[in-house]
Amino acid sequence: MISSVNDILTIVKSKELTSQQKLIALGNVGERIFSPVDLLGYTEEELSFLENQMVCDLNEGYALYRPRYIVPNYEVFVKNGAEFLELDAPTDLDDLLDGLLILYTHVPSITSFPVFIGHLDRLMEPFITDNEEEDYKKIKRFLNHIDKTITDSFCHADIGPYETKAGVLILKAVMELGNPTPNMTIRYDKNKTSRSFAELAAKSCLLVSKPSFSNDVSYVEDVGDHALCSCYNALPFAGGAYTLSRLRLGTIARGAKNYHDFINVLLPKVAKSTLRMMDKRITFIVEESNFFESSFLQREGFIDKDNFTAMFAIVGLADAVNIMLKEEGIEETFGQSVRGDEIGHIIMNVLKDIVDNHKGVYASRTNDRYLLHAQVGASIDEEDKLNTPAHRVKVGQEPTLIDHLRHSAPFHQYFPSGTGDLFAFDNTYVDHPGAVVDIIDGAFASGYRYITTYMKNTDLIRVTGYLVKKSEVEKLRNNQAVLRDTTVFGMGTDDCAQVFDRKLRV
Amino acid sequence: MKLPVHRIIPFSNVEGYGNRTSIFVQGCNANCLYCHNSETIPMTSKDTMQYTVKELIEVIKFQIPYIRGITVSGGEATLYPKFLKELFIEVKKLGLTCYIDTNGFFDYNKLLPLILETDKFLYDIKGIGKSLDKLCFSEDLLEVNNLSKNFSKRFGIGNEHLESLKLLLELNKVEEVRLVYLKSFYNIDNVVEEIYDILKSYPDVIFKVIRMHVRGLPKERLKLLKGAMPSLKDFREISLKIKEMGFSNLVFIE
Repeated sequence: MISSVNDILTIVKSKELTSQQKLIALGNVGERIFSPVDLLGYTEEELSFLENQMVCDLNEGYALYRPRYIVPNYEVFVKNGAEFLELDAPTDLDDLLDGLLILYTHVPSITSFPVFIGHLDRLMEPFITDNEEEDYKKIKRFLNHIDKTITDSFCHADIGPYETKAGVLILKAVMELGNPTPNMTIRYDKNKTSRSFAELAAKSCLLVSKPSFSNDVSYVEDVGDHALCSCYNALPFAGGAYTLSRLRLGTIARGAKNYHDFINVLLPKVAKSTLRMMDKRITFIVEESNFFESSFLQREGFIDKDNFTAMFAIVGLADAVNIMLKEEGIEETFGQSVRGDEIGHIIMNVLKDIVDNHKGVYASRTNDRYLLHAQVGASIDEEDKLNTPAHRVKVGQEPTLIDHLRHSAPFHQYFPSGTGDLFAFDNTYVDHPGAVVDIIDGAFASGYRYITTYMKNTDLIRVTGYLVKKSEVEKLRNNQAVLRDTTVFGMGTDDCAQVFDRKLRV
Repeated sequence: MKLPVHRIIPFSNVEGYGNRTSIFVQGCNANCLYCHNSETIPMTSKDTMQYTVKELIEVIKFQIPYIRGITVSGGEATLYPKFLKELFIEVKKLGLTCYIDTNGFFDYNKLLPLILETDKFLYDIKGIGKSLDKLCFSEDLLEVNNLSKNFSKRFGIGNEHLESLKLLLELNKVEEVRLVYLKSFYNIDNVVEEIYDILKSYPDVIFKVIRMHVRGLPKERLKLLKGAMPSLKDFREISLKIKEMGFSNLVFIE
């Protein structure tokens, strides 16, 4: 949405925001002070879909000056150092970890923090010594440093698929620290990942809600060389995504006259408008902002402008389906309805067709196409209370675990740039991570791209795609400033979707 | 041929390694005082469902590919060897493994055809010696099936359950041996030593010691267990002692 000068004062005077959070928010107001009609050439109709909340641009802004998600190839640093930063290539673990921490402060994104900090185990493994105790101390200190300075849990690290000494030490430290940041994924392939490493990761996921498991086979097939970043976004490696716009399917369905109008008229119209707005945004970043011209990341090969794409996202599939079920007089809900699944797939196929047929700009890496994404939700507008994250089942309407897995698996196929489901388990699974890995193996064999678990009674909890501490949310509810900006989103999402109350899977 | 089934748990993580579908049969040949599923002891009950092999296969299939196998528990699975043998042959065709959770009170030779189709046993040692009479073959309780008539002689005196365990171990058919720890009825030192002697050449086999809990037990059972409930402190002391004995694969359930 377009901002106003008054927004500046509201932010300046806020009691809950830290200075750093204010600075970032003020920058965002500046990006949104321009009308996208004037600056980017949006049509009035396109703008109207933002104004009526059918489309949400996540307040990315209109005077865009960097891609939303940047996925650097940090191996470049290992090989060459970083000339712009006057850093030599690292020769030991200390050099590596220190150099990475320096680099992270120079990797921008929509949040101003890096959303991808590397395939950490691969980066560290060549520098691991025989002194495991010392290496462990260094890795743990490094990870803790990240949590306290990158105060945004969209910051994401990857490990796997192969078991390494570094990978095991990272998991050990992650479990001991129990920090929200960095978010973490194990790229899992049962033919490459050892069973013991997978079970250690599963145990860690129960205890501290990470790492989540990504289906490496299916993402390599769809995105090629990639990394998991931010929440669970699978994006081209050494590149990223310019922008993410999301359709609020529940809102669109409510605005339609009937099923026919929704599927055949309004939904296609909104989708096509969104794609055109995305074209205009990307054109501005590439042609006007001089991001690549001014970035040492581009100059030194950490990223390449030809490795970027864009994300076309949805939320509220459950809500749209529920509205259509009601119209058909069926008293069932998405997740527990055969007809509901049918409608869900009809909606997704309409969108898939439109996205596949739209020739995007500056997206050669993904065949000039933007990638569908199941967005985890946010609380930017009142409408977000009426749009369930991604294609997930509404909290409170979940079927049994086995039915839930069978229902959700076929929806994962639509989202090459990321989706994920999450399940709360009881604490008996901590001693039996093999059972969790079996469920993950089953899910991946059934078409799942991404799955995560957590224990219901822990403080550190996965909201939708990122982690927050419930205790920090409580602080914020009492109007105290908190370290991490994501805590605000966590509170908003819990208010919208009661994510702290997901059904326990026994 | 039908199997009386008390309950099916689609996903279970505690009945053997990995994620498994657990089938609890109706009917037991023992009557352990601390039994938490005493509703499964009678040979029939109003909650019992009768399944043919084909029907049960359909139920199991629904969990594929999320499970690695099934575990038949109870009640006492070994009361239904013919049915289970046939079931296991079909289940294996689906690429799944078949486990049996047993109290050890069976005739090894008669069970052999089923044993050969079973991948692993989860094997309870309920105790050793005369103490079993009162602990497991009690006739003072309602759910008596009269199936344990000569058990005192066979197991209490003859230690047939220990002999069966040894034979199963030789066939590499045991995943874990379990012992429920209570303060009276049997001598814990003797029982654990006996189990150690049997397990010491099988380092991969889990020995799981479980603290007896009485919460939720019916009154008439509680009465008979008076004084046998170990406190957490009792249990940790025993655990320490057991740890020193040299078991290679120990698990304690507090």
